[in-house]
Amino acid sequence: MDHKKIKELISSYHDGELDNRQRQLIEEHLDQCTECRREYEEMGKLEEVMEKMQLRKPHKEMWEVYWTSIYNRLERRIGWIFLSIGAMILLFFGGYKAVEGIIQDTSTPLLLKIGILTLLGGVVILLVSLLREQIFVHKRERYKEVEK
Amino acid sequence: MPEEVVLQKEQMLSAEAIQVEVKRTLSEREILEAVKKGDKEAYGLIVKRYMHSAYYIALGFVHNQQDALDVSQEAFIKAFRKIKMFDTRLPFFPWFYRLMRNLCIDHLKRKRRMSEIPLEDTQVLDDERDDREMKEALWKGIEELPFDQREIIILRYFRQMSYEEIAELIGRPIGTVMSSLHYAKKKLKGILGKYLGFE
Repeated sequence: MDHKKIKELISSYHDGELDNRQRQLIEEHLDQCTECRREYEEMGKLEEVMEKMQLRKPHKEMWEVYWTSIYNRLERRIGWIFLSIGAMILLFFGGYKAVEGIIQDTSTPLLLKIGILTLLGGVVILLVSLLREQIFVHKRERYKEVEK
Repeated sequence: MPEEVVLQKEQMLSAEAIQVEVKRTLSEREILEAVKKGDKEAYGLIVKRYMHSAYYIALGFVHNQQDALDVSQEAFIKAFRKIKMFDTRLPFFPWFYRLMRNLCIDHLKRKRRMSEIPLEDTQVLDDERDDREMKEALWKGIEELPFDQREIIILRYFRQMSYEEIAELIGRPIGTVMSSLHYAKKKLKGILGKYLGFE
């Protein structure tokens, strides 16, 4: 087996991930090859440092509220849906009341009535979604104070 | 408070405790079946089981504690919404992991677009005094690895997973895990060599 392959296996040897046959092969090779022996030792130093590296632990309280926060967000989503539907109905009703005269006027062409109602529906949906987006972005934009 | 009310309250509490205990003894599959029916309390058991792994893996990817919290929680929310698509005969975590991995990638792309890398937030390593400079250089080296290599390094060293577990989680053959890890370690060894006097 060539050095390249041996070097690849040295990494797995350190991790204890080789089978008996591969392990024996590596051990025999390391006994007689100084280049691979050096690779083995250097890799060992890397393993030693990496094993000691730890990611910073968060505050204990974070784990206590982790699930609650997810639960609230799941619940709130349903609230947002109802709020949006309610807001759309009210705005559409208000808008309809504003153009009721035109809609009920028998002399107004049907196409115009359809156009006005479609326009009204579109404005209401856009308005509500825009408001939701603004509230959502404002809440999540933690770096808004950072100069871009 | 009248005695009767106190008694009722105690009974309710013990009923809740029994319910939690029953859920603890249920298999993951049974819990997930309940989640599929919309049981949020059952989902809480799943979240609590995997939240540590999710958070630390996300931290390894996004390098910022607040972002890791946001992304991992967002992944749990997304998983709940998509739970109907999940086959409960399979383990939950690999499926969840793929959702979270995609969220992390999107997050990193967004961050890169915004060139938003606050310096203090990159300090994700524990406050250990020993060899701090060297460890920070190594961490920087991990950050600069291609995503698939970094992913394997994080799972191997920061979640102590075996090659087999990594392969299952990322859906790649063990041979790929082995060689990716080898190339990643080779690069990191080069960084370490500058501190320990070998190249």
